[in-house]
Amino acid sequence: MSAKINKFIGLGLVIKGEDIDTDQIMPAKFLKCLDFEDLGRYIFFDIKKQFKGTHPLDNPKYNDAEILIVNSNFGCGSSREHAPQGLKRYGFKFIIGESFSEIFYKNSHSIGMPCLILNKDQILKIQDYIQKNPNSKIEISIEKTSIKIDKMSFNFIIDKTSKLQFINGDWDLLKNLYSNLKGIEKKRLELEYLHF
Amino acid sequence: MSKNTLYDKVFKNHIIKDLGDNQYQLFIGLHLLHEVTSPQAFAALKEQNLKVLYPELNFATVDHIIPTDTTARPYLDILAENMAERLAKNVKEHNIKFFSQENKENGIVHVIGPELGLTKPGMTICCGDSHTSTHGAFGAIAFGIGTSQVRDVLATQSIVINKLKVRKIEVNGKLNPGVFAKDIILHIINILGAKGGVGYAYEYSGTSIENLNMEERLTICNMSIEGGARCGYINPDQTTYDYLKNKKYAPKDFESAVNYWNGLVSDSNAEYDDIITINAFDIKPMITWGVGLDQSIAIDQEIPSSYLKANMNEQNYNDALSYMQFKPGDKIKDKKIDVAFIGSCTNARYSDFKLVANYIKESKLKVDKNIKAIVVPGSYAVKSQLEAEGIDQIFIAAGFEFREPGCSMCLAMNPDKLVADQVCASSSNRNYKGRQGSATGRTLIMSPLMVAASAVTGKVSDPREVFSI
Repeated sequence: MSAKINKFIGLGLVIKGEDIDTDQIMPAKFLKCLDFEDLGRYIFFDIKKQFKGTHPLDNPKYNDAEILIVNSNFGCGSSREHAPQGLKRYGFKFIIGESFSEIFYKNSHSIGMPCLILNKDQILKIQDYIQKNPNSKIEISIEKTSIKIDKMSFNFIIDKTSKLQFINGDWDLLKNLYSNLKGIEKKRLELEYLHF
Repeated sequence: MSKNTLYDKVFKNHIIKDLGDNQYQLFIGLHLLHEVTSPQAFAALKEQNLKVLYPELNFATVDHIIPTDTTARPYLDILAENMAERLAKNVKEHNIKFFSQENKENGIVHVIGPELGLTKPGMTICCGDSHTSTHGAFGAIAFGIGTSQVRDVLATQSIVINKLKVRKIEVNGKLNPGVFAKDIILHIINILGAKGGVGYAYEYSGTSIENLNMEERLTICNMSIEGGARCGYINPDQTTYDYLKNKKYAPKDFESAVNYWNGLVSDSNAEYDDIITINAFDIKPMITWGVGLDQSIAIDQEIPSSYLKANMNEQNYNDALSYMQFKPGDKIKDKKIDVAFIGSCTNARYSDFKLVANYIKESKLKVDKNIKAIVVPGSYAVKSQLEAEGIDQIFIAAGFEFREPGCSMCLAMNPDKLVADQVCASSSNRNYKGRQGSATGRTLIMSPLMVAASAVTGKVSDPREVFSI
């Protein structure tokens, strides 16, 4: 069983921009590895350089941030799981955003880093607030689908199945899939094209 | 909710278990593997003491990290050598068929799948690679997955996935001269946006699509993901069957297979979640100007003069222009380039090179002396066919480097990289920041013929003018 993920209180970090692709999050040169262990140090590696020290990831105010707040279509492009693995190993536990690419969303789910969806206005409001109040704690409850920051309160979108998987600690799906070996074999025999 | 489309039928055929809330345990008919996204998956199997459930439904190749200027081993890049070695070890241990670099059947995963007949209509196909959408050209439901799901497929030949909505994209009419499959898909992404396809499977149809050969169809489906659609497909037809027949892994009972495949084609009264129609006459040779695939214009247009005209938010627009060092309203034509690259899983098949070589030969034009131009076949089969027909010599005589197959400069995990802020005219699929191996490198995505036109003039050029089309 994987760890239960439900209630969490932590600090936020804002990365602004639509369509932030996984090449930006984890440049291809860092994919030359046989495990994910060291990837935390390489997130947004090239982009940070271009910000010349002004990127939020280089700002000591956000050193303890564990919740990433992004805009729309975050994680688009390459399917590289190295991107969410890097974010997780850097220390992020949740990502709050307007929307995510499907592969990135699923990859993050598979490694126990939930992506929580709010609408555009809510995201802009939170991003603005956290940029002004970096010490404000963000309180997340998966069970109540709620995000609270000081006096603000929001309800995020998550499908019921994923919600239960996080709460019950069943988000690593391999065990679930593996428990149905009979069903898998039945399907293999049934699929006509495997036998032409 | 879509009904009776090929997507609906193929998806339904593969459901092992309905998990509720639109999530399903889905059987995967073909799993393709490469060296970059698989080592951690094999390591996880070992950790949990699991074996590969059906090795015969898994095939592996090495493509991303291999050099294209030499095949000598060990590779100079020790990390690349380690990855190639690890894949060889893993596939041997788990009894998976491996097209190693020494194997004549090696090549880019999305080139060799179709070429060997591994890719067939009606299958579900997965690979730890977002361009797996390519295989949809055969009427398969093919999509990219991350490494955790690569592990899941190895151990259970299945994954948990949600069912997508289906958008029909109908392109009708005759293509204008000098307009190719690459221009069609760039035009579609331009209209629907880079995130327009999130939550959808794209069904490409209409007379313009039906008239494309298989290799052109592969180009279209390949870039579905660039429009946000995790998979894109084309209904199989006689063109599909003619291509597949006699391929190494084609079904032995081909007739039964064709009957089965015909039954999977979207019904004439199928229902879609969305339908859009495009007139082929409106499609011109396309080129990207920014750092997203929807940041594109026709070659004779100007870079949008404002973020509103670009249909972008202000931050992304300014950011794209500043990265590309372009100004609002600039003409894209005549922008100086440094590198020309014809290759990648989008455009490195036989017909891509054959077409370009025909125009090069006829025009007798040579690559501009200031340009580094490289041609990288998508597989050894493509390479040997080009060599057998002397097409390699046409490129070499014109000043192109003719390389060994691989992913090469599409994502620059091998030694083929841009330097500093060089501009590359590229037939690949992504113009993201830093994509081609330099953190400040700039990529202009276009058709292979536009790459060739730009290589010979040394600046972004309209292939219709350069080659008098």
